[in-house]
Amino acid sequence: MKLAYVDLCGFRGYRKPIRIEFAERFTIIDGRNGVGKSTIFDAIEFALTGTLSKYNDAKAAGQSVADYIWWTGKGPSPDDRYVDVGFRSGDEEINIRRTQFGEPDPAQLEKVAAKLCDSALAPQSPLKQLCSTSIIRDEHIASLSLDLKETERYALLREALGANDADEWITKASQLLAASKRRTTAAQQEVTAANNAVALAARRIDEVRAGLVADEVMSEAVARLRLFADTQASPDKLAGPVRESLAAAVARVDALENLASRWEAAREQHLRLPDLAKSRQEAEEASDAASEALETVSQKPAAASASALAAQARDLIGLISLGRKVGLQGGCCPLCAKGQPHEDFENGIAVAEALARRLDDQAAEEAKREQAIEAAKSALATAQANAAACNAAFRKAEDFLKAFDNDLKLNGLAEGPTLDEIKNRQSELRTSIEGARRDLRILETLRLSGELEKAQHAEAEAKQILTRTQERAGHARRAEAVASAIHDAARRAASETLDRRLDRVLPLMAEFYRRLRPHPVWRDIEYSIRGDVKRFLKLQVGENLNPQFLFSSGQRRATGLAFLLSINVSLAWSRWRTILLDDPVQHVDDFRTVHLAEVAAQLVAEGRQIICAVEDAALADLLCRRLPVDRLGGAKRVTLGTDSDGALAKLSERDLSPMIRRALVSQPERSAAG
Amino acid sequence: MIDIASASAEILSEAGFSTAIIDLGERTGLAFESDTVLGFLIAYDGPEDLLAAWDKDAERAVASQQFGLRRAGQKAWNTYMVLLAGREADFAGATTLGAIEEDLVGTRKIARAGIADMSDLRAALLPLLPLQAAPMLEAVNMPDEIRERTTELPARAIEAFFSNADEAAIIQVLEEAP
Repeated sequence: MKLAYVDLCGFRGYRKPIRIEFAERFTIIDGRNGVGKSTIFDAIEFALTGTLSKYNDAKAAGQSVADYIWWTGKGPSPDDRYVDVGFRSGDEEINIRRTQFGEPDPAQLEKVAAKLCDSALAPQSPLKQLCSTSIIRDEHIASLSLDLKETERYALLREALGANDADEWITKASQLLAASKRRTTAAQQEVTAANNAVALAARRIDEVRAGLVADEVMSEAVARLRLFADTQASPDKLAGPVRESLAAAVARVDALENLASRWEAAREQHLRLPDLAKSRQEAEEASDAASEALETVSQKPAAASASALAAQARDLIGLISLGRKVGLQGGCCPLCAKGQPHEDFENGIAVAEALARRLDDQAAEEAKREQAIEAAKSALATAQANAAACNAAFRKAEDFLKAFDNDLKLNGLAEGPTLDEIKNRQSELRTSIEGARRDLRILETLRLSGELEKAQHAEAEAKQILTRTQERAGHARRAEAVASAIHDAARRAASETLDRRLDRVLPLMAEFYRRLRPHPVWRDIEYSIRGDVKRFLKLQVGENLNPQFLFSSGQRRATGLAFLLSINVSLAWSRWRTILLDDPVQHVDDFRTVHLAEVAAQLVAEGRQIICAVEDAALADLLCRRLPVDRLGGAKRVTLGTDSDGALAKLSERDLSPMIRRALVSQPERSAAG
Repeated sequence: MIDIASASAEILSEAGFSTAIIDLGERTGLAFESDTVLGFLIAYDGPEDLLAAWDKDAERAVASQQFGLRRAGQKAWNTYMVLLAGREADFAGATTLGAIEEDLVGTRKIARAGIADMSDLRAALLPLLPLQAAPMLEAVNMPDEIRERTTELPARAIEAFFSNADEAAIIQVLEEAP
């Protein structure tokens, strides 16, 4: 595919329509600054990609190149705004047209892309790539070559050599490796968990085993416990009776403790008991004596009480006093009215008075006897109380001792034990309890046998799980190893095939450098690729010198041209045979400009279509003379400028004629040597 | 050392040039011509010989072929004067040769010393020769390339990798015994 024409109107600086037909071999465009030479190249890129990459998405004051794609100048408006670019392949012609408001037909664009690129090898966004490597602009010659970072330079060359599906396979292998690594990690975690489970089970077994006792120790303990609990129960049923016996023994220990605490009191009571008995005897005897004494005092009971006798005496005295005072009344006694003589009366009074005195004596005697009875009664009461108290004290001591003796008996102790005997007995019991408890603990280890079986079962299961997880981990590792090998192979395949291709391209790059001869001293340049992960394309001249920092501006540009031309020529996936050079010789001296013309001539001779824009008409002449023209119309010279309206326009377009084929050496003499 | 003139004639002929021996008096030269360019090649033993005689020899060459050059018309603008010496030049000589080359008056000059073999000669004549390196890069069958680098791996695993099977299925195959 080669460019056939560019037809545009209202695009960038072109207000009026302009159409440039490109010659099949080369077209040289000249014109001073600002006459739209670069716009021709812009139009081609814009038609293919819809953008102008040379501005790198630059923005200023909210504006971008998108605001300047279409005509924005002064003067009359353009009749239309469009870009139409035609391509030719043999007799077939195909075009892309973009307008201010219209995108090209996608099918048409796809068709052009298919014609321009080998879809099997083309990279992403092939048309953009194609434009970036086929349209070599003055401003990009250095920046896209010598001034690139070595990694970017490598990437540019790699893209030029054609994308293949290596990245896809590498990505797939990488994802596969990542997934298999995740599986390995998960499997390894399972192994770790299973190992931990096995270790845990083993530790449990150790713990259980540590708690187990020897058989003879167990049988001895069982025998002792049977003795302790006084039972012949089987070992597995022994714990109950033993615990009951233990409870009873503990109760006995408590009882003995109680006995021990009462022992001193018992001893004292025991010592006091005879005295208490004697006191009780004496008190009883005293009570009996007091009782007899009372009986004795009370044996001669009086006719009347002392108070009654005393009252009789007082009454008789009163009566005597009254009779004496009254005297005989009429010879009759005033009291009994019986007639009697005075003397008798007087005698009677005297008798009465004697009787009164006797009654008084009797009253006194009776009072005395009554006092003696009261005293005897009091003494009896006191004696009886004392006897009761002595009896109570004796009983209390006796009861205490009986209870103590009973407790002794209950605890299997003979009467009258010493405190040491009680404490010894208590100590024996405690020892027995401790022994029983110890033996009980030994007996309880019987259930650990069951625990041991469980632990051993758990360990066996854990080991089985470990085996399975180890197996899975092994599989996962194998998969990871294979995935890693595939990933490595994919990367090596990509790297090695690329290096192989680069090895074939590097001589071309070196040749372009030699042809363009940027530097009078360093006539050769070395291109080398280094780096394993990040790849670098290194340029060096002389002894490891970097031309980026060594060469002048013009020399760097010439070196850059060599690089970019070799990229373009190496494009394995490009079917576009056109190289567009936009003012490639800025800052390049005449001598190296001649070299560029020679290179361009060879490229045309190789079948490339060269479209080159230059400012200098003399340079355009040189190019037109130096590049080969095989037939009239095979090459063209176009001059751009402004028309009478001031609009950019094509001032001239001239088909170049072939030169005389042989003027100096006749063709039959093709080889002087031969 | 090679016979520069005859070897040049051979190389240029291969490149499509017509060549002819021309007499320059003290030495002979080689005239060559293609459809676009023409020129003269003069060989010297050493750079000092070249520097001493090249301008007069060039004048003689042009003079001897003046009619042909006149006939060439526009093509005469593309006249080359190729001046080659067999022995190596010292730094001063090389610099002087460079100055001759950079002098664009009259003809495009190629002035080189140290032409000892065909490689040196081709390098000197490079501006006149077609592109020497012409890589034709064919498509790469990456699966085949990967297969070549995985011969030690189980074939099933590789086929699974290249299949459209999902990741889990591929890993399952990778985990299986070879």
